[in-house]
Amino acid sequence: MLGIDSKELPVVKGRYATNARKAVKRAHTGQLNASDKKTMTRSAKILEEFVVVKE
Amino acid sequence: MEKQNLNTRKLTIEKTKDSSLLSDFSCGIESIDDFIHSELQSYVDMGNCQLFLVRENSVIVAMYCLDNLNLYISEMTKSKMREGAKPMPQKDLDPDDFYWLKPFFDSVEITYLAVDKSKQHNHIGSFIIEYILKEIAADNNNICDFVAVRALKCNGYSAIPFYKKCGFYAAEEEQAERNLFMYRVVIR
Repeated sequence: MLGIDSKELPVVKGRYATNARKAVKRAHTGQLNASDKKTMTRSAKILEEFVVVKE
Repeated sequence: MEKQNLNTRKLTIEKTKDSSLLSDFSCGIESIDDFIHSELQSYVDMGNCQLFLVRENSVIVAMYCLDNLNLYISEMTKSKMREGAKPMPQKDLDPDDFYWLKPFFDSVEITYLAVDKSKQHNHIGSFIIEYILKEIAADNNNICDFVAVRALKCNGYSAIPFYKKCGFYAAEEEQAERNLFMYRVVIR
């Protein structure tokens, strides 16, 4: 239902982080404040700390 | 192949309908622990939420539940979104667009999220949130614009600072000793 059921390859660290940064830049240029940017930077760093393997 | 940090920790996430697997789990907050051990199973059985267990080295370190939600966003919050003071969905939205007339918005709600007491302050909770957002963003069948939480406030404990740190914004006006609906925009 939520798209979380499907099996797939392990999430590779760093890929989402890069995409997230690009998406933010593309979609929110001129709208993000310092706090938002800090949040996104933190998000990217957090995602690099773990690898998830779905079972 | 992307480089992997040697310090990267490996987690497994499994969906289950058996909350008894959490019998030894404790997040240290009495009301949440009581709920997990006594009432969660009935919520899962009734289909009110989907339960996920997060393991590290086969040990359950966290749990979370997801559900669909029609998120109420107050007019004041919507106004701030339009002004750019709060994040808004990435749509070509005119300030007068019909989109803003809706009181409720399709969302995925993180109904419960708890990290084992012995594993707290290790970024696991933050990671789970980022992971959920990433999965929803990657799901073409899911068109919701928001991930929502009802941040718990009880007996002097408040989850609101944690969710704020994770980039959530209040979807309604904050009131003392009352759970607060918060949201984060799904970035696709």
